[in-house]
Amino acid sequence: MLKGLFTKKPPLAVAITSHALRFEMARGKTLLEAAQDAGIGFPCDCKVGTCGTCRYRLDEGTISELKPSAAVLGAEELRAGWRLGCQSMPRTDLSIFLPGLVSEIGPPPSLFEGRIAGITPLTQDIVELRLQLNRRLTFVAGQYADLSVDEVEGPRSYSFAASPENESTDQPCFHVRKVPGGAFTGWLFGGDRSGAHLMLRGPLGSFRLRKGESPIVCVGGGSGLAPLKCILEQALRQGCTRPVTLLYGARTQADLFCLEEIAAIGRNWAGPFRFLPALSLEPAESAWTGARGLVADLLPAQENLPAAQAYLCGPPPMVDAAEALLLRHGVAAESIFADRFFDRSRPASPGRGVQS
Amino acid sequence: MDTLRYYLVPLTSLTGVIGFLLGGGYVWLGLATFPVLLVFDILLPADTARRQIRSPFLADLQLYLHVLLMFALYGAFIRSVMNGSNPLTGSGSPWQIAGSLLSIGWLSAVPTLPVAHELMHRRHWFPRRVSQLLNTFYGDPNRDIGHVATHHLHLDTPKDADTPYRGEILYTFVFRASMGSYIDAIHGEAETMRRQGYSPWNWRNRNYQQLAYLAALPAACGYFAGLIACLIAIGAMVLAKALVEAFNYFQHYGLLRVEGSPVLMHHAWNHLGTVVRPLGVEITNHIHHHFDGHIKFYDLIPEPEAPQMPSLFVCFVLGLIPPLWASLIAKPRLKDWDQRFASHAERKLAMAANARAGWPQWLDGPSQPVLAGGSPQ
Repeated sequence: MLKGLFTKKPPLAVAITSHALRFEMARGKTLLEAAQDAGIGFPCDCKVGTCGTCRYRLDEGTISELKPSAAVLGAEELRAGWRLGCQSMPRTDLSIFLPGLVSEIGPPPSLFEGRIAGITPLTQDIVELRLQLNRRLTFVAGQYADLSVDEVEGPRSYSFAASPENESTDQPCFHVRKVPGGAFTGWLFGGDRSGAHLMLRGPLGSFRLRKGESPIVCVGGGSGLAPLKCILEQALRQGCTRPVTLLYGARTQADLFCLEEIAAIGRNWAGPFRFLPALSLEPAESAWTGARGLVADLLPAQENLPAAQAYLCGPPPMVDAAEALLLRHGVAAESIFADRFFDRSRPASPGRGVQS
Repeated sequence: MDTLRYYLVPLTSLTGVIGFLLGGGYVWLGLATFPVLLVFDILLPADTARRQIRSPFLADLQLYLHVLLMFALYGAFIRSVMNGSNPLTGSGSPWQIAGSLLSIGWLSAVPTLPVAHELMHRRHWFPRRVSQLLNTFYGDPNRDIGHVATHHLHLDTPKDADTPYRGEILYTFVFRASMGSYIDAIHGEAETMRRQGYSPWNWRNRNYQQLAYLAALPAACGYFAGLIACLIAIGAMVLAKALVEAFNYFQHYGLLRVEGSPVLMHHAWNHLGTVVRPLGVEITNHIHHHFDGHIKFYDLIPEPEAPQMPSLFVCFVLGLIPPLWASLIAKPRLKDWDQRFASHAERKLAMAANARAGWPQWLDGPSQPVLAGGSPQ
């Protein structure tokens, strides 16, 4: 038995079938470490077999475990072959399935401390909130974070509004809409909050751009523009050429914002890019020549709609209306991705916080 | 040369073995290493150098030598009682009993904990099982369960029984930490059994092994050397366990971290003494170990800019006298930690902890927190 301690054995091959990746690993390392050494973004957090972030499904091969995966995984998962990467010591070549790479689903959430670095008005009731964190934060465009301040009980959820140039940033920014009677926004809008301390927990959520070649249709309302803008910025940086239609709903011209940034994305986009704002409460006598009415109503007129991937973000009624229209016009349910912005006056969806 | 430093570990345990082989008053030889090591650790300057190891095999060999020497220590103890050179009854026996108890207790803790700790973090099953065996000498065979899954995860938070509260004295902490370690192991194993579809009472539960290991050592002493030897073995395990938990006391005393935030450079005390680094198998070179528990001891990077404690031996001695520990070490060091290292949220936790301990609110002044530095990961 001791012979194994001193005999050099050939490296092992690991195939990640879910992502068509392969790598070789020396024995004596965990699957997680070996994958990360090979430059693969194998998700992980605690590395000691307690959080379950590094779970994978073992399809072929044999492992031994430093500590039983059963400490975290349920009996059903164990029977289905799920194990923890941080506790797995491969003994033979492996074939595994990963739910997602870090580049797809983001790193596990962590707690950050920071200060409010700047608050810039964007419209009459939306501001850009920029933070200065104590360390850099990596996230996938479309994700959100929970913000907490001492003065207000409980966290509030806001989507990242700008994609960092180098994949991470210590100055994330968010678009915050003032909620009438809201405790957090009442505090934020109630005085000069520059320099105020806060805690950020993130990144959170799975709203993100999915792979594919199909056209992208984005529908946003209010501060729901933030994750869509963030997604498009990141896609632009990654050289995406898919056709994009961005539909944005606001009440009046005064409620439109980030027009310059969106125009810049459009100018630099390699494929077709259309931005169509729709105003629901714009006075009839105004000089506005664009679309009027509810933004979701612009959807049926879009070309090639059934082939599109749709990304919906904003107030739940808008998202619900857009989703219903998309389904009615032949868009597959699995091609519709939504992030509903709730506030404290309405119940939140599972896994998503609330704003107020 | 750097590899050779670590042979201080087997040299220390060998001294204890020789003491029992010589018998008589020499049974105190194991304990006598304590003042000698203390003096050198205090007198010699701090050692902040990184280790250059050419042969990992030779660096690791001393770990296994110590394991063998611990068995040799008990063997020599039993032999000394059986051949009459270490009489545990009759006149002069209290002296022999005390010497045996303290020597075995000391050596079961200080060179043993660091070696066992190093081995429990290895990935191969063999060192991890050896660690389980070695943990038995200080009465905690399943220590790895709580240590890896609780201590490393919840460091410096109330969930970690290995982190002493501000104002907590060594004597109560030793008890609380010991219970925490046992409870973590019992709960952890029971939950694992359930998820695997077994009853917590199934024979696979490692806590049965724990009971067997714990019984084996005193039983062997009792069988070969009599009841008093058996009681000495039990006493040495209890003493060693207290010393082991004292390690935690001095490496984490009063530190705070917001649950869920990452472990950063300021989240452990470091003791970079020239003697204690090799004797402790770099366990006192501590914060890097918390960044990645799989880093081998000789690859750990000393961090002189991270929070420091004076000689661990000095801490041990002062810790025995709580008022001195609080006034000379704990309060000044934690005040500095709060002012220079703690983040904004940690400063609030610190002042709440001070209030609970009846300590001053020393952050009421105008000093500004420094945002915490990051780990190299």
